[in-house]
Amino acid sequence: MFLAVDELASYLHERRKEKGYLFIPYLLLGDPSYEQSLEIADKLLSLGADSLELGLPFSDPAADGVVLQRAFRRVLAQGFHWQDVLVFLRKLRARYPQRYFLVMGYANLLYQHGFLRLFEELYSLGVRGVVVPDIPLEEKERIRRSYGLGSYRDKVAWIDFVTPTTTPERLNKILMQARGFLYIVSYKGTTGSRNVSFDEVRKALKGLRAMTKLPLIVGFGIRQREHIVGLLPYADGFIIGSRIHEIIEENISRQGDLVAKIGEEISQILPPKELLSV
Amino acid sequence: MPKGYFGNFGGQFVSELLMPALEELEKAFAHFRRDLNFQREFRYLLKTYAGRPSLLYKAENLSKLWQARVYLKREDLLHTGSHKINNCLGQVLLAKKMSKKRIIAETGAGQHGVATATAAALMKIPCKIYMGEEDLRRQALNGFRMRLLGAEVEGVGGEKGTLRDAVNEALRDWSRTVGETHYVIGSVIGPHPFPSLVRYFQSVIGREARVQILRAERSLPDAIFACVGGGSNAIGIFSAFLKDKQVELIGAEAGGLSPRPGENAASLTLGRPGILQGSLTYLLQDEEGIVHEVHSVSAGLDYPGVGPEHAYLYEKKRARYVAISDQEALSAFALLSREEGILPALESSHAVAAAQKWREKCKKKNPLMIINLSGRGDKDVAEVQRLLEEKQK
Repeated sequence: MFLAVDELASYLHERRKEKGYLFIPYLLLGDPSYEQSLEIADKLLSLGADSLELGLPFSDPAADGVVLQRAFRRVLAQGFHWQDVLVFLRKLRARYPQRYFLVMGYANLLYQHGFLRLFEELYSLGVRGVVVPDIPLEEKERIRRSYGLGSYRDKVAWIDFVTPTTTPERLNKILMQARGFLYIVSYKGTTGSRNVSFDEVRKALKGLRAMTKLPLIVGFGIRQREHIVGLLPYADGFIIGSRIHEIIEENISRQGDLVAKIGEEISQILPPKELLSV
Repeated sequence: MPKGYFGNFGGQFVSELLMPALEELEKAFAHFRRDLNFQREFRYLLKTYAGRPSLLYKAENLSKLWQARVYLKREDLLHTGSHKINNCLGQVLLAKKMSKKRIIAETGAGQHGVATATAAALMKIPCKIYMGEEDLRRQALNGFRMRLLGAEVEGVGGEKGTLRDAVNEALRDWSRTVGETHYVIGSVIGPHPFPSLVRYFQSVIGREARVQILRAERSLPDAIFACVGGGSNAIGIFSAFLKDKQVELIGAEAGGLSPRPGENAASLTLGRPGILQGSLTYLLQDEEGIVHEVHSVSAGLDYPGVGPEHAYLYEKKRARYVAISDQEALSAFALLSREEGILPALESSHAVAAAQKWREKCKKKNPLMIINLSGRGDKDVAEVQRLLEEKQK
């Protein structure tokens, strides 16, 4: 066991101590517009989100289910530009100088922008973690070496996934170098499945708790308060993504209502403290 | 160190969910490629079921017309009508040895889907095929053929859905069912070990062609032509000649309607390196890395990436790649039909067109050429008829 030394893990530990659990919403930037993404971010942070996993759209999101695929298409119809993302992050940084954020994007977007330049820019804008669904451990290590990202290891945590198929050997390798938090995938499949059973992941979380001090954050398929209440005795926090973009999709024509609607729905999903046995 | 690199290209760009399955597949492949029983079974299937060795046919009329010695490697004569059967028999046999319970595959023109469904029917294993909806329209008969063979077929990607959408959907299925399911990737694309695995099963084309041309002409060819979408038939035939530096290797990419973004599928001639569907390779993409929509008259070449080994051969300049337009491919389709009485697949027609252009520029007297005729054109007749009628209007 080691003490968490990276910036994201320290930050999350502090927030966890204060609040009891960590809530990290996933928000695809630009759905339905960058202006509204900022309003939605405000709303989610006011409801107690500890960080935001800010998603970038991609033409071939092979790790995502139908809800996020449709959301990606909505954003790509307006075109994707890194410049918009950086402007967004700058605004967010100005409003929330004390908060740390995450960026989630498929490998090719990061590769085209240039890893080192990207990490420099993101760090200066308050991003302390990146999530890349299609870069596994082995490729991550190769990229770290060949692009000279060594000095960013503890500054911008490159998040590892632990999944139902991860073998004990792979888990050991993951734990040896993980930073920030562990992204625990609750089932085999793509994002946003319905009627997920969380029994397996609860078992896995019990085992993991004894192996690492890093925060354990569960994602995939979380859309109801019962899911969260059932998970939190074993996890440090959770990510909600598809459900948010489902709400956006359902309310997209009534632009005025959108942010309020997300606020309403999410506050119904978040458990009040007295429900938690932590 | 990550595995499966051809120079700077290849790798394993997939989610952690799929990594254990790739490790398992890699181990099984390493084991069975040295297993004599497996070899024997695979060769037996190729011989008695697929119809190998395929002919190396001297196209006399075309030879006279081009003042060259033109040979066609007749993969179109194999069972199911294309080279795809080589890879499918190999992978489905491997999946059976690995005790997998189910097979999935993507398909573009439908040739790989039909070949997978065929191998699955033969070896009695349930099979599901993903096919882009636009491709299902263009290749409606192949959709029906797969169902006749007992496969479940799902159209994906909306109205404009093509091969890349089918790959994405197959990857999603595999994420859900990994463990019990084997994903039969149809080309030398995707994460390691697929580019090496598919190359291995397709290398029989090159081995045969080498022996056959030496027997017929007592010399190696001056040039070999193959179409390149993902590039499995090209890797298959190129693989036996890579060390023979005097043999020119030429890949024909889909030049489509024009070099403009969205109107072609010429990843090497018009793209740049990027990461898609498991590997680092050449891609058609915009400034930021969003992958372009692509177009080709042939559904089998309608893909924004290319096998990583082709990216390597391209940068090393061991192989050359040319873009052949829809129009040039259609002319070559008509030419081979009339001159030799052989209807080539629209994919393979690109290779015929590349050979014709090469011959026009080649100064050598009576050069020796091999065109890999990767598939037969019967599946394309309705689409060609539609295009010709459209042109007349």
